[in-house]
Amino acid sequence: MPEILVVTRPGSSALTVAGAMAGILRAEVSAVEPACVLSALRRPEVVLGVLDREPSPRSGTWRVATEAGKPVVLVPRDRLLAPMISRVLVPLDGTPESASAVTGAMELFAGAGLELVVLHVFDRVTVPPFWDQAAHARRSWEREFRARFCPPADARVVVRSGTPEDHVNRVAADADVQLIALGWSQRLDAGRARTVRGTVRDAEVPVMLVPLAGSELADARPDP
Amino acid sequence: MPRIDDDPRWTVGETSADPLRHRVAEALFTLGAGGIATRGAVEEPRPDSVPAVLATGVYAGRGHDEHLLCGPLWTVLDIDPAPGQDRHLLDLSTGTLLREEIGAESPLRTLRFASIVRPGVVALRAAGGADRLRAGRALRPPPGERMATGVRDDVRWAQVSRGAGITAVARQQQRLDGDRCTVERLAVYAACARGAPEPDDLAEELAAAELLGFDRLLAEHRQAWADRWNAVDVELPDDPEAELALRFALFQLWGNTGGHGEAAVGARGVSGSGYSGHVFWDADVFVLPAVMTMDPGSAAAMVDYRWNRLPAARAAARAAGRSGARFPWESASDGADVTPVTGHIGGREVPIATGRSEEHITADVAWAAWRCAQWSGRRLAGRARRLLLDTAEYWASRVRLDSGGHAHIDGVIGPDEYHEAVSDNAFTNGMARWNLRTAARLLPPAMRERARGWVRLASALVDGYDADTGVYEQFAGYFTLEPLLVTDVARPPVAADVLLGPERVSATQIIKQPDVLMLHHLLPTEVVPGSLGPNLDFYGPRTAHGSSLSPAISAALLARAGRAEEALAMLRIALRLDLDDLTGTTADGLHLAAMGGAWQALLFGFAGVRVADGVLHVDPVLPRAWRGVGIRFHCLGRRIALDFTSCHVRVKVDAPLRVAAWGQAAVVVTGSSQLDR
Repeated sequence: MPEILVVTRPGSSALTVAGAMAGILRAEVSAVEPACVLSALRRPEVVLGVLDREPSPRSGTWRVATEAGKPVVLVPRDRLLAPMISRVLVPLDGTPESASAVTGAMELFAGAGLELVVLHVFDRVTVPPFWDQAAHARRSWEREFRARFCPPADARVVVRSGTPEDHVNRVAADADVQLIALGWSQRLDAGRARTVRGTVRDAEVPVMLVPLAGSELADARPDP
Repeated sequence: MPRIDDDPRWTVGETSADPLRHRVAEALFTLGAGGIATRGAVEEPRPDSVPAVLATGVYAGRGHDEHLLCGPLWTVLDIDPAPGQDRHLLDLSTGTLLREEIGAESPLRTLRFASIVRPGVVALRAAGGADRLRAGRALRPPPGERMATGVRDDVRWAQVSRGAGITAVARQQQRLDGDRCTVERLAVYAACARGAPEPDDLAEELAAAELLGFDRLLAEHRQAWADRWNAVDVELPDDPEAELALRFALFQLWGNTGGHGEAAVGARGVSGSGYSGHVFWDADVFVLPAVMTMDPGSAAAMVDYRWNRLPAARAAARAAGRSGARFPWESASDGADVTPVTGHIGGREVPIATGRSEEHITADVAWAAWRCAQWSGRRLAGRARRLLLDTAEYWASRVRLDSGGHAHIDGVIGPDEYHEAVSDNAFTNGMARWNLRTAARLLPPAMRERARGWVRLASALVDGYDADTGVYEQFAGYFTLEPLLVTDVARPPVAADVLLGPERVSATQIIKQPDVLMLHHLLPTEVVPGSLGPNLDFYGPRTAHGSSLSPAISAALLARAGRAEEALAMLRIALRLDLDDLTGTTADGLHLAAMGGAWQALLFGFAGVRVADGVLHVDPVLPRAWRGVGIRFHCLGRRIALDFTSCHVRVKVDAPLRVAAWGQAAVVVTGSSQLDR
């Protein structure tokens, strides 16, 4: 049976979130000491870890997130979080890499009956060169965006302009999601992972960080 | 399996290595003839595939939701297992699409074509392992459509009908030869806007095709393509990439236009469902001038599409309290305006005002009719004349005269759609002025007074020209906007409205595409002589090129201004627009206007070809990378071949023609002649 690791502390909602994730993945939850979480995540039956978020990039939480080969859910502290997850926000930057990181997760969530909200933000890098007729351009663009990056047919695609870190948490609140799932490169050096850092810092809901390479979540799909 | 010549100057190839380009390739490999086209989808059904057979002017739905109807599919085969890796090769020289499986012991190969000798006839031959290839049903339903089907006299027929309809009949043969299976399928299509054609009406055509057989059908098709390229082509020996891309543009312009009686050429032609197949000014101003040089009959069919909707345009003018005829911004089956009322700029839902306010389309339609007549050397008469008169009448009723005797057109959207509800848009006013003046010359002597009134009105129309700077103000108040340049916000081409938001961009001087300069492109003799340069200098840095129409026309204008290197850079963007999927939306259909614009850039820009008073003018401007250019095209009822360098032009004609090069006196060319600078 798949296993979810959780690091619990007094006042933490991590166990609640781990339970909600276990319901989706049909997994069991095991508590683990903070010092052991990285090594425990290497066990083949473990599909993800759930930890309290910590603000400093040099914290143990971020160390786990950057070094784990599996998804890690970072849980905001001192928040009353929903015991069930029914709606998930998946920000996609329109690159095959970020999409492939979360494709397994999206399919798994959709298969579990969760509602998916996919967010794409047009910023200076991702803004399209052409937007012909406002009456039609979005439909053409979205059709191909879905086909390329968003396999679940009934996912809702939300598009914004600006900087992604400004929009992810705002859209998460507007859409009333209980989880944000982000693909990321696991690099926190200067100028990188701005969206991940900003989202984790300000999120009111748990944020699942899925490494760009080696996402194991798809393998956790329950047998039909 | 027939072989094809994989000459890189004539073939566009694609392997399946990049799965994200799968649907892009389907659009690129569209094969069309006579207004019916088949997307280049692979033969086995795939969930990420968008196969389609579409026909110009054959729509389903009503009002804003009117969209192209998809007909029965004829290319589907039962292949199990499906090929893992494959490559497609579109041979532009013969109009055939080859698919070859890579790395298989007994590889699947298919070859298909849409006969240009017998428009509507399509053919497919497939060969592969007998253990995995079967013909299956010859005609299959398109996704999401109900299809009626049956067999009559051993011929399978299928029909998709929703008011308009598309009917196909097909016969196929499946041969097993040891461990190989060969499938040969012939089908005949017909489409009608008023109802699906009867299968029986296609039986004779199918029987004729069958009698001829696949190989001879292919042979006559190849010969017809050779004839086409013999009459219309480009040779850029120093720039094979641009040469191939231009040939690809010509190929798809041929394949996505045409049709019987009339041709409703949508923004994406019949290569995809994008833009619902609606007809915009793209058809009149970007595609038609190119098609006029390739196949004058097809261009005339595009004018006929507008002509047949003149009653609807008159009704639209009446409904707006005007006279004459007002053509719709987006048009489909009946000529009523089908512009949606809401849309999106990026993520923002916005009301769509183009249907209400982008009125220059009315003059664009008139210009297209005039252009057809001018380019063919005919005088304006009959339908073209009527279109000119009715549209002029509209403008006469549309302009506002102020107390000082100046005429204005208020509340419009120009080609630069970043600024809405503007007054005295230079392009709209300039086009209306030309429309009024040109139509005035067509009125009979008995209507001399009306003609004088139109001419007076035309002269009174303000155009925002500033004699001190040589720059036209794009609309009243434009110069007072924040003088932001595109490079202040991003590197063009960029959808500046998506990046900045519609309110922010409309407060600046950043524009979407040539607007004032579009007037220089369409009506170079109507603008103040010498004003092209100052307007390029002013508007160039302010143009985001956020419309796919923009780079090609900019290339044409830059070339005309003698700025050949900048022109070539712009032309390359236009040429790669679909081949490299620069818009991210090629999967939804090819950008025909960019293709037409690219051919215009070469012919009217770099070659400097224009027609005036029955004389062909040539004024070549070459970038450093091109030592010589060869172009063949139709003009003034002749087949013309130009081979030029920056020093001389060799002209070849199939009938005597007056030709002027570099502004020199015209000479009569018979056969061939060299004109030196």
